Amino acid sequence: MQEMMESLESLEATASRLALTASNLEEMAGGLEQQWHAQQAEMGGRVAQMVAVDGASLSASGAFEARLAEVERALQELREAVELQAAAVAVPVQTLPSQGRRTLPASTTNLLAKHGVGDGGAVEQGAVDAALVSLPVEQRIAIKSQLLRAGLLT
Amino acid sequence: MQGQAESGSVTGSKSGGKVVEMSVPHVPGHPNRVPFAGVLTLVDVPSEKAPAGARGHRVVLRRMAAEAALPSLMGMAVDFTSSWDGHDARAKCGIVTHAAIDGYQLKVRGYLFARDYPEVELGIDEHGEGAMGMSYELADAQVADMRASVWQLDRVTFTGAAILLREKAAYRGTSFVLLGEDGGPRRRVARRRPGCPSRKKTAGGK
Repeated sequence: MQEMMESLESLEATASRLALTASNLEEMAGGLEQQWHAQQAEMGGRVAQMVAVDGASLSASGAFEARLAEVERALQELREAVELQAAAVAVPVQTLPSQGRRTLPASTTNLLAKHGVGDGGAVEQGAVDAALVSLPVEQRIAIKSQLLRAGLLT
Repeated sequence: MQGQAESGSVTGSKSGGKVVEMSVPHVPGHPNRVPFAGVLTLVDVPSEKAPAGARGHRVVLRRMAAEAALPSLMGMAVDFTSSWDGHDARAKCGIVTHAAIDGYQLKVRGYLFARDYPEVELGIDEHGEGAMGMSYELADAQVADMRASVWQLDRVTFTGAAILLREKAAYRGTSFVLLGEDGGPRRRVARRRPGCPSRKKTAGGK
């Protein structure tokens, strides 16, 4: 009888220790979970903007500056062409070819004239390509755009 | 592909990928529309180069993030720079009307404002279509672990795209081609004067 009582007491003590251990483990698991979430929040992040362009190529500042200057020059020529065309906006598009000289910047007209292209009228694309072959791509595109807008390129 | 072409529709494709498109009524011979198709980016594939804004890290756009973000591409502009090496939000030369994930490719289709930007077609012709690629623009990108060497993007919002030389793109597997009016290969025709209707022919000569 006494042995049974002692066994029961021993079992109760063991059960109490197990319950205490389980409680401690549960508390520890909660702490670990909080730590994990905190680490995730620290590792993860947000980026306001991203563009899928080779970021390194944008930092080639020397070549970039030179190209930027070239593009700005082409842009200025385009602006001049647009302003001239706007000034002649009352004239129907079909009559523009006969006034070609007035819708192109002087620099473009001179460049084409140097290569024997364009006497104020329409010009063929092949002749323009041959005349502009020595120019950078961006400048060729800008001049062709001016000719297209003026209705002079066939 | 399954599904109807209604405004903002989301459907599924035969390959199981998600498709999002917006309805644009077809207008034969529209002088300011040239359809285009391209691969905007790859999903679940690391970029070859670190995108601008990624602080030197290559990135992986996760498939589930790309699928969730497809609707944000609808109506977004396509832009370009005259040197074909980046984005210029002031030079919006086209619009995205269709996006789909096909395997590892996020493909887009849309229209180029060809009459407003004749220099885009000229530039593509100068460099050759095989040399052209695309670049996405994202906002509010959620990165899983910023300490990782390759960033995983778990959530993004697309805010635009750009046409550029493929060698300038962070993903070399992108592409960009102009199409004929029927959606087939474009056939280069003689330059037309502004004001004349578009007469682009298809490879079938229609």
